[in-house]
Amino acid sequence: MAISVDREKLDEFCSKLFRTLDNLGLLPRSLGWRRDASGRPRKIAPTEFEKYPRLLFGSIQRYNDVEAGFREWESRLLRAVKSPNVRDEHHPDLVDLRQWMVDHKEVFSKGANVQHLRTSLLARVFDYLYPRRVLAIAFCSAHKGDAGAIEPESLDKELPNFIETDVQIQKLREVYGEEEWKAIATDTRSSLIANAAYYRMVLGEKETLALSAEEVKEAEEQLESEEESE
Amino acid sequence: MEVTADIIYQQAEEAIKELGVEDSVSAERVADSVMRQAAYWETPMRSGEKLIFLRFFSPVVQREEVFLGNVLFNDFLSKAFARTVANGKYNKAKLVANDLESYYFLLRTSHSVEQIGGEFRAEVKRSLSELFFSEQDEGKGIYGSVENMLNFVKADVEPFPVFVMPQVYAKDLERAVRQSLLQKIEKSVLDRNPTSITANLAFFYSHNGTEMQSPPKFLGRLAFQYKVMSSEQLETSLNIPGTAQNELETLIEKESLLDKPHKEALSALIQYVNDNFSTPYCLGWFELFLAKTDKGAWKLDVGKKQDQKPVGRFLKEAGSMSSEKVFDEIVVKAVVADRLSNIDVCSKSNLRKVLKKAVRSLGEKAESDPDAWLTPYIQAKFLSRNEEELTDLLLSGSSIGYNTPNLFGSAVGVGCRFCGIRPNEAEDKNILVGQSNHKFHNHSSKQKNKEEPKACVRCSACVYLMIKLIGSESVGKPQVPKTYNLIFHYGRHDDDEVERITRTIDRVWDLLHERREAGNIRREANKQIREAKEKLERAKNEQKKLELEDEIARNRAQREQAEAAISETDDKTLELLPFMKDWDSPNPAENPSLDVWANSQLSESRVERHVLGLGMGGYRVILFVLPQISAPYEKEHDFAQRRFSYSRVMVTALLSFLRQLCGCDGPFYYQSLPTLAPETFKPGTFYVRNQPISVSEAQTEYEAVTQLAWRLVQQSGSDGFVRKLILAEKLMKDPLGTFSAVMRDTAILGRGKGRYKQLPGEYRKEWGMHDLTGYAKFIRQLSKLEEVKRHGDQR
Repeated sequence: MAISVDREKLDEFCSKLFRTLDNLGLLPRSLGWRRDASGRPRKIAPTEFEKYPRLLFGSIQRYNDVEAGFREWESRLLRAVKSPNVRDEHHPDLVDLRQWMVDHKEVFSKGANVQHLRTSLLARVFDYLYPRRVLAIAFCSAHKGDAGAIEPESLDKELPNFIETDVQIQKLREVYGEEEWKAIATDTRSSLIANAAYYRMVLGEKETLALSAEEVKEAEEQLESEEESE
Repeated sequence: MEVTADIIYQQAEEAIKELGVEDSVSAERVADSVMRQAAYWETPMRSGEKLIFLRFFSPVVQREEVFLGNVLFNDFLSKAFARTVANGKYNKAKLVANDLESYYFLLRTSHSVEQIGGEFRAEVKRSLSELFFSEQDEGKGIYGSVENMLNFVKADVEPFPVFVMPQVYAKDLERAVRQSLLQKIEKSVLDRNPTSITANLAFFYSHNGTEMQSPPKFLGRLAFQYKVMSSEQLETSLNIPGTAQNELETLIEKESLLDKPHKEALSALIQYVNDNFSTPYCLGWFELFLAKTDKGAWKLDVGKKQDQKPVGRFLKEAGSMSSEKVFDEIVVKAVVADRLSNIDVCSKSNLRKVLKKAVRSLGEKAESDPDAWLTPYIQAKFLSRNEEELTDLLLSGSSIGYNTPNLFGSAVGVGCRFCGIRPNEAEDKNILVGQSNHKFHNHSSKQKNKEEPKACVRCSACVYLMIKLIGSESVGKPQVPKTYNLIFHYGRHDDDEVERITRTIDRVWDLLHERREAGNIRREANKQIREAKEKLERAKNEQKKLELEDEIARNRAQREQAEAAISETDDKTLELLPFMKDWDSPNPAENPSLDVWANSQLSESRVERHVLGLGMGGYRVILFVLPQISAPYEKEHDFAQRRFSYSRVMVTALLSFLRQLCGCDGPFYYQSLPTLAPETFKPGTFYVRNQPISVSEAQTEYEAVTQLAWRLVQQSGSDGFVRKLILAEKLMKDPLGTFSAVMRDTAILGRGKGRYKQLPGEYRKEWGMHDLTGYAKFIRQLSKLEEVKRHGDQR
């Protein structure tokens, strides 16, 4: 028998939450590998996707009150955002999210809902982030060396072209369907503009996102042996 | 597919036309009576006769232990009823419609229902013996064969439900067993110990417990004591050597492990044998009995427990036992058992002859001297009821129209553990109730004595019929009825088509078996190559290196052959099942439906299929009896089957496969009773434990989760099957939650390895990550599944 949860409300909440976190730059920019301070490739772990949503659920549970829990989480969140501009720009998103949660506090007082959110969080955040990150990174990879590619005017023209012509992106688009894809493309465009500094580094090949297949294999083996020794 | 009412209407029209009663009744009235499950009405006709609409009803007990047997029994009753009304006086009768419990007839007759009931009862009584002991005759509703019931290998664990048979059937039973045993001996290639044949002999013809417990001893006694066959015949079949007396004496004299009293006992024993059995091989028994291994141990004692060593027992007890007893209980028993367990040392043709001779002679003795030889040791086990009483007990609960001749006369204190309503007469034996005998059930708390009978005669007879169809098996020590997966299907299929479907299933099994064999060869070759490569790396000797390279080349060739065989069977599977081509893999490890077949316990009979009842509007109830899912190594026997039958997801995967195989949209039933009611006869519906599941629901929801589970779990075989099944059920229950757990335990995000297989997707340099679109795709599918559920909940 299926678990009885308020799925529509939870879907709506997750979409708001992830968008807010993404706008604040608190979700990983890459879903695969990144280099640590020593230059060694590290796989992005599930905890990095789930960190802030889990903190929110924990905070609500601790206070046993949606608004109080949210406020505590909000202050912690804002401290984590490094850029004051981003903080100021997207603070209204947090206010909106808080209001929505207060308006629907019955959703979060139901144990089954919170439990379901905790268990399904990774799939949900992956579902949100994966197409957006893939589209952004694939677009930047296709426009390497062209720092102007992520200017708003250029994006309006090039991004739709890229979506129509890239075979892999087309496959991804089929998975999500037209309606959902429109939102994905819009979010990606906003993300590319909002995080222009980062993506300019990618375009200028200063951010070495891409590992060679050999490097990946080597890193995978290293990771596997580390897990075995644990 | 038409709806139920239309089909019944057509049937009613045809019946009315055939009986020529158009003026007396309308098809609407008849169809309406069927749909309302009317029991009886009659209407006068101009000819002075009357037109009777009547329902013959016999209930079906929906307990797994008796369900199949009850269905078969009802089929027998319905056909007996049809014979009654078709024969002689009631020849103007026509079946309008039927399900497994109710049969609706139109009769043009001047007789009363009571008269028909009397005739019917007499017909049932006449046919009961055939039902229990005859070979299959679907026209009479007789299924299976007594031979199926004789596959037990231990006689002392109540392996045959003789206690549900009345004493009066002892002769018929013995005759049927004799015929079956002769066939069994003829068919047996005798390539291994014929334990089942000797256990059958001991069970049905032994005179006491010791003979029943030890079939080799009984076989020896048949020759030396009862003279059923000559001792020389037995010796020739076992290839007992013709040892000369002086040779034997020298052997005993030289034997250092024997002391003086033993040697004296042996001399007395030889004297006894010489005096009583003057066959050319009679001293050869001792040569075999005293044989030793190269290391100097007694050959017959090797590998046996201390208290089961025959030579050890002889050395211990020889002085206190008579020569006759020593020869019978120790020497012959041990040597017969040893020779039969090393069947290659026996003369197989002579052994076959001697076994046949024993069966025939025992049969003759049973006919001529029943007091001494008719199932002597199991006589007391027969039911103390006569044929009349048995007929009444079996017909209790059935009704013909308004006539219920065998209603229970008095209230039953503690009812049968299966049907709950009839008085208990049969004991709680494994062969009757399976492994759950002597376990708690609702009625057992009311019984003071645990040993009291637990089942009624009717339910016990149903179990008997089930074992007659599908046989029994030994689970550990006790013999229990074989378990099965029962599937009913209403469809417009003629006999040829039903045959085609079952032949296809049998062929699928063959191909899966061939694929597994080839897979094992490939695995072994891979292992050999890996090991040889490791050795090659370490090897320093050139000659050794050459040998290892040769070995690697040989194994590679073998692997290629195996891979070609796998590819060939895959092609054949796809050719055989064209509906799979577009979307499915022929590899059972990746295909849920094929995995069900691949993990089924194969038996000789494979798929039992039967057409029950007489059909309606071209629709017939087809019964598929499929083997159960085999258990993983060292797990209880129903470990996988129990999980399978609880899993609605997996059952619908199997039913979808069958549906595509038969190509029609008639309903399928698993652990459900097909009845003639609109809500249980919907086209394009699977009924699983009486819950309807539409085909579209099965396709959109269930297929997504089974496909995913079969891609994610690494293990194959029965163990893997259970893991996949559990994952599919979890995915069904909480799709996104379970999938999140799967993603956490896969080598995709932050992990180098995981318990689950990674979905296909290569590393994309331009994305800086693996292509995880497969995961995104499944999350989308699972979200839709949640949506479907949400809408379902709202409805």
